[in-house]
Amino acid sequence: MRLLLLLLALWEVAGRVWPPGPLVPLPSAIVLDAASLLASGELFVHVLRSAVRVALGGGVGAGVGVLVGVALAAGGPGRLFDVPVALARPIPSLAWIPLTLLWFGVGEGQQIAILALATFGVVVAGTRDAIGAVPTAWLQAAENLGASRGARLGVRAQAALPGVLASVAEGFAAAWFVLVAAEFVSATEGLGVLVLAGRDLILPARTFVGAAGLAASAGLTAWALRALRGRLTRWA
Amino acid sequence: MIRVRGVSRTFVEARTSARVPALDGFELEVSRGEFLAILGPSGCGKSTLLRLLAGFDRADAGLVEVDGAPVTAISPRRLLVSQDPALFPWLTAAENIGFGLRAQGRADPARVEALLVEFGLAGAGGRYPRELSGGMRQRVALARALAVRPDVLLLDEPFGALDALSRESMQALLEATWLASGATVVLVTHSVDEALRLADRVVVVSPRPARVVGSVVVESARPRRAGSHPELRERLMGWAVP
Amino acid sequence: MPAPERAAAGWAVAGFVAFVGLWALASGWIARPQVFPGPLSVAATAWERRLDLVDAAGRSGLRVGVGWVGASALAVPLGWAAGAVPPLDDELRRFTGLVRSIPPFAWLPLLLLWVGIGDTTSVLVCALGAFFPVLEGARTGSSQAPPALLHAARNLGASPARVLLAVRIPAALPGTFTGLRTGATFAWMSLVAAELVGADGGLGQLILDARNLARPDLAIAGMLCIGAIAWSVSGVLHQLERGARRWGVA
Repeated sequence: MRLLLLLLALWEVAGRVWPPGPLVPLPSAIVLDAASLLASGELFVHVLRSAVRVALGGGVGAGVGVLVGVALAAGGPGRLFDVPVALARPIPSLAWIPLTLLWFGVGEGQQIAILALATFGVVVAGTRDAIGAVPTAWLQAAENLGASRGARLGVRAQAALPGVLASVAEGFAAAWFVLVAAEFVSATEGLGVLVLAGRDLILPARTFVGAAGLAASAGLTAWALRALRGRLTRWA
Repeated sequence: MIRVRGVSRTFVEARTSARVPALDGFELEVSRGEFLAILGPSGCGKSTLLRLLAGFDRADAGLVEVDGAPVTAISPRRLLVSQDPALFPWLTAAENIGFGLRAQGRADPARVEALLVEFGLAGAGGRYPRELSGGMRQRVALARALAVRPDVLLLDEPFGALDALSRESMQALLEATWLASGATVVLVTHSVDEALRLADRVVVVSPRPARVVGSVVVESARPRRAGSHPELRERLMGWAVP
Repeated sequence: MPAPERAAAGWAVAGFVAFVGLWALASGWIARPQVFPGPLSVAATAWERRLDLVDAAGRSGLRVGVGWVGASALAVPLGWAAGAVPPLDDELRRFTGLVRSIPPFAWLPLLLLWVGIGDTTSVLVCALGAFFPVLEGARTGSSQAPPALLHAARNLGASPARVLLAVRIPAALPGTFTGLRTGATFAWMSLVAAELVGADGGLGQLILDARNLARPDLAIAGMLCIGAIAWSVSGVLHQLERGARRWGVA
């Protein structure tokens, strides 16, 4: 922490002594820009818009991801999903921009779709692996003690829960990761917009403010989901 | 009660496709209510036998019969407890013990409570497995098995991972519980002393493929104390393959 | 082929056929080839434009390659050092903590401003994407070198440098390969992002153009190319990693 502050201080001082021109912002400029956005209430709007998008996109992606992940782990006809998922996974979510534009048109839907795709890719694999990693010893013990098929499924679900929740958290992290790209095409408000505004308006300070906001939001989401997971799986 | 005749089971190792014979023409009989110890060095033959008896696996050839009927499925009448207690981590000790009862729709909190006391776990019923020591976990595993009153109790080196003190107290506990339950017990162990401490009869088995090479009957009053059969010990050690 | 593998292969084939079949049915039912092209249309377009696709793949591949190799050349030794020297590790963590959680795509506007549109920006974005995963993988692998082996080597009289080269690095290889693989994935993702914004040629550009020309069949062909390349690279690295694991310490 101290090293970071020291570097910022150096940056500031160096910038004042040798002004680098409008392309490289000083820490003071960044702070000022952030303050002005905060004061005008704009920052709040940007954060809120992005947060809602991530919540919706991540929610849909995680929900579908868990369902498909369960289907994949269940085997049998669920394995039919193997091929489409394997094909789609290596495709970066950003590459979906043209198709999503074509299908959802310009607007919130398209942005949320990109976020959902990013989350889905992570959650589906994580869920499938978590369910597959349940120790057979536990399932056999349950059967030995007389548990019915339904009860055994319950055992599998409980055992896989920590892993599934962890992959959901990773999924949301992935959503924040691609937010800038998701908002790239048509968003007018959002943290990604702030990041991009730096280039369009030649306001590099704003990019830093956006990036910092992004990092903070992603961190906060991760912390919240971790706390939730701790709550739900206190035994783990 | 238990009849194993000409049983063979061979495994194919996945990576090398090598055939590993775990059992080859194995023969064994256990009377009802008998405590049998199967003694032998670590290897998969003995564990495989227990798994066949529990119904977790099928023999390639031969007959595996319990109580007059061939073993075809897993059942709470033939309970297997391994070195890994396999407790369900999301359930408390008490909930683990009551699992089998609840699974069969015969929940019995009073019995669970009695078992907790009998196994020295009074007060620990509300703890999760991750909060329990190794010895306590194994006690919960045993209590969980005995809660459903199995006809046959199959134990695969259950105390192998415990320290000497815990092992001694667990052996005493097992003997007392068995005497009260009347179940038939098959215990797999690599400890000669443990076998002599607990069993009515000890059978020595050679490794891969497992084959019975010797057997002694332990006629001794119960409850027993450790180290009271030096001559039998010598005989058993004589058969044991290094 | 042993039974379970046969079953898995069977399902894979069935899944592929089912997928293509459903796709064909869906596109037929929707009956709007400009919006939802069928598999035959995509395959035909891919064949028709194969030269463009190969050229684009080559350009993209080169950018990713340079970026990834460059980032790894820096990140791997740094990671190995960090795994061996805990104080260095702590300093590094604090130093990079905030920076590492910023997605590579967020660096793009700054790079575009400072460096401008072009190959350099693309390569830099890739490098940024690959750097942290590779660093982490190398660090983890290095720090997990079994202390028993390290002590044994020192005891036998090996100099610290020898210990490093002969014990720690081989032990670190599996983790390092995992990091390299993740880094490659992130580099590829970052590249596509960079190209979408503006670069000369490349698969990302191709897809963007396809959209402009309202050719989703080309876009899908491009996407499948991207996916195929990412999958193959990942596969090759995975095999190398398995080889390292089998021979190595972990």
